[in-house]
Amino acid sequence: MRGARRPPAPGDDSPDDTSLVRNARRGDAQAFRALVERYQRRVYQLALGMVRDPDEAMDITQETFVRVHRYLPSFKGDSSFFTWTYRIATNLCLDSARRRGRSERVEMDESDAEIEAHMDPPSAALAGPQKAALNAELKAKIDDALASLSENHRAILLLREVEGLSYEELARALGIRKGTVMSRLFHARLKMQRKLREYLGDEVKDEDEE
Amino acid sequence: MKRRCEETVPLLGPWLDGALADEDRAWVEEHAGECDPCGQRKALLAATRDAVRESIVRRAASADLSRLADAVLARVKEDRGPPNVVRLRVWGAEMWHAHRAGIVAAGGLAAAACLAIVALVSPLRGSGRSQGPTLLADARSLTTLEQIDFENHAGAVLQSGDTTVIWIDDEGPAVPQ
Repeated sequence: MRGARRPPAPGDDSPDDTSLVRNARRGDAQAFRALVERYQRRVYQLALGMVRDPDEAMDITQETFVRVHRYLPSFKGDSSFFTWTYRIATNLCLDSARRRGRSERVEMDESDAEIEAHMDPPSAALAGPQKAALNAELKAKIDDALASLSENHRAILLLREVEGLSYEELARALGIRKGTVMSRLFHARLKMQRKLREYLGDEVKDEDEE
Repeated sequence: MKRRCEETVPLLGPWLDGALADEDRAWVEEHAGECDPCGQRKALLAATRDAVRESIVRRAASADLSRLADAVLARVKEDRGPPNVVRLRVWGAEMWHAHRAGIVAAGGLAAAACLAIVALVSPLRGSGRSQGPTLLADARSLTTLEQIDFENHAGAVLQSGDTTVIWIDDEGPAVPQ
């Protein structure tokens, strides 16, 4: 599984997160700058996916690192530095959404029947999904589909699909149990598939065909 | 949907994520390999993931983040930092982790010193009274002041241990009370 912790590649003599964090905690501004520059793009990606507004995403990214610096002394190292940073960023995104009145949509677990319906397999027309992904219409559709998710579903989907956090890291970043991670991710994916199905697959097979 | 498909569907995501236990992965893989709809479901999951990832990464890549670190560092300079309670807790935790052995040793020594002092000054020390301060008390209790009438002169005798002091008043008839 692709994890969030990405130590320097072999041959890369840049310091790892642990030593940068240690030095930043001691007041080394350059070490802290290195951490910001290492992860700013990924935090911005998450924020952009969550709030969908570039300016707001930039503000959230900046605020995330200010808070990282403020609370760095309390970082215990139980999780990776980046998982911890993600948790701060995710909370800021959720706060921002609530402030803007996009209150949490009620997350209702879908019934088995609904799940079955949504899990209708696409046809073999999935051929070339990468090609389809380049389609501008699909991009707009992805944006709409993400926007239709609840904040919690959007957060877990972005953290998993875009940032590649493991289930353990997702649990830590979102402050939930691993069982909740699996359930929430399952429902978030169902909803995305329901929205994107027609772009990623031509038609839906009938259940009875099986 | 067949029963095996119903069992497989919730596990397709974890399978794709590499989060399935070995024993589950084996049968899910086998089923998806044989069942065309489940194979397609897995392909749809992967396609959705790739499409979302590509869309977000591409949008974020166009953002100019070159001045973000400067902006953060400028704000950090103005930041007052965490509340004092947090700071104190963090300092305490760091001190404990860094100097645990020293703190324990110093604490032990301090406790031992306190015990030694208590033992030395305690009136219950040994079988009876202790020596130092108790000797002074004993001395005080053995000190006597006795008024003496020297017939024509008033006087007094102070007896303290081996020391005797005699006062004689040349004028007054008695020792002032």
